Amino acid sequence: MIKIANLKKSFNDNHVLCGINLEIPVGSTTVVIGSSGCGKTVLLKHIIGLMRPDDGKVAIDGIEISGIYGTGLFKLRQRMGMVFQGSALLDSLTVYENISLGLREHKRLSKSELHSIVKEKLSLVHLVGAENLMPSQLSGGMKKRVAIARALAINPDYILYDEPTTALDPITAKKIDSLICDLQVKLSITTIAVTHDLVSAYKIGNKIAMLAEGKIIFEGTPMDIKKCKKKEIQEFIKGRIYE
Amino acid sequence: MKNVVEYVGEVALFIKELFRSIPKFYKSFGLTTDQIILIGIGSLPIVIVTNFFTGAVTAYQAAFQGREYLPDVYIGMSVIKAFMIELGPVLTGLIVGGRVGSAITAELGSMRITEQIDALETLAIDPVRYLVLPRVIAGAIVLPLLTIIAILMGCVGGGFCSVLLLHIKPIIYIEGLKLQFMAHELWGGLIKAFAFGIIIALMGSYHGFKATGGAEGVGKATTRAVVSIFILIIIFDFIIAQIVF
Ligand SMILES: Nc1ncnc2c1ncn2[C@@H]1O[C@H](COP(=O)(O)OP(=O)(O)OP(=O)(O)O)[C@@H](O)[C@H]1O
Ligand SMILES: [Mg+2]
Repeated sequence: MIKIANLKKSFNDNHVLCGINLEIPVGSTTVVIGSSGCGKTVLLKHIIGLMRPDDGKVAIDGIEISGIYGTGLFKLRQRMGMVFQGSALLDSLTVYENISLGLREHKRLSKSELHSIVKEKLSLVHLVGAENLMPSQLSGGMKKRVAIARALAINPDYILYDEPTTALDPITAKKIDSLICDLQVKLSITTIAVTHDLVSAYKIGNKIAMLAEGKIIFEGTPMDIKKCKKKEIQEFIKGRIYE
Repeated sequence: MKNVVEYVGEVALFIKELFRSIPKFYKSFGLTTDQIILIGIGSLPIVIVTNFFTGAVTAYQAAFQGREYLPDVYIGMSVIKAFMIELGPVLTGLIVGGRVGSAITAELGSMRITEQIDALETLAIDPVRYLVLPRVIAGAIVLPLLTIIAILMGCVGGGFCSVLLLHIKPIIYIEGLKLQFMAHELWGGLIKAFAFGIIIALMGSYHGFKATGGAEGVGKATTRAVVSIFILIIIFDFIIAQIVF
């Protein structure tokens, strides 16, 4: 379980997170929604320890990721995978090398073992045969899939998605959503996604939390949020629907 | 002033992280050989051309300054001395600094802003060990090698100029080279080159890692990297000369 308590983060005078409290249960999908620039990426980067909080803490299964460095941090990160907003594939490496990067660094595997793992992950994201392509040869949707395969390569307990469907056309976005759901069920991996795409949030989320003005202003199931009477929430939902 | 102190402090922290990554160097072995080839082979043509012609100019100037009252053997002596202690390492440092330093910043800077460096961290890979250490070690190895080539080419260029334009007997030019060849001066020059190689890769990487704010930010970081590399090369040229010679 991931426990976020009183998390605060500012950049100079820009108070992005002002006391976040959130629990992410194991074995299901939690989606954090919020408008552009409200700090979703910043929140995710705190969960995986890329950013350090000004105050408060983030604990992964009881280990405080915001308080450890070096080997301990790397150990913890080997149990987590992250899919970045822009995929962030290493553009000097092929698809195969990108996916196998973490494995080659941390595990002593033979060539054939590596090969079969990469193949397995590529088939999970429906991209078999793309091993030798370079990232520059891939479409946005394909890059996302490779990024997902890369995050899954080390069989993490947690996977974090940063805006998995934005910048994709509606059909591709739907495919990625189904993929996220499938993977969650198939691998029973604890999933955290942040997005401003409500369609996607309803589809993949078991639990939805809404982030606004640096706080979590709502937590509940997709059904709950549709019924919720709070003004900010209705605006966000309707703004999306009637846009 | 506060900015300068802050800058020096941040670079020092960066160096500390680099040192911390050294024990795991064995994991970056392949990456280092890639970088050696990339930096070394890529820089070879420009190092050869520049030093050849600078050697020619040096010979010409030496002959011009010393005409009528200095013997011809003086030309070879001044060319080899200038190239071993100053021109070889410094010219090579500046050329490679401009060429490779900017390339490193541009590459790592765009990796920073597209979150590729963050991605490495999430894969539990130390980006300093994966990206910076191979470049710094490659720089430290390649610059002395290129400097040896630079010194050779300077002497060759000086020889061409002496024989073809100044009509000096080859044997006299070569005699001059031999007279002034001193092993400890060669070592001094190579120590400079070693330091310049580290400076180029380190400052190139540092500015790339600190790049922010899109393509424009990478452009600015690149400029800053090259300026800092040039200034540091000139400063360290002086400092090492004081220590070694
Ligand atoms: N490294 C940083 N330095 C300074 N400010 C930052 C940094 N990262 C984020 N911010 C600021 O934090 C705020 C939230 O940014 P964040 O990227 O988390 O937004 P977001 O919710 O992910 O938006 P989007 O939906 O557009 O991705 C922004 O105002 C941004 O300017
Ligand atoms: Mg974001």
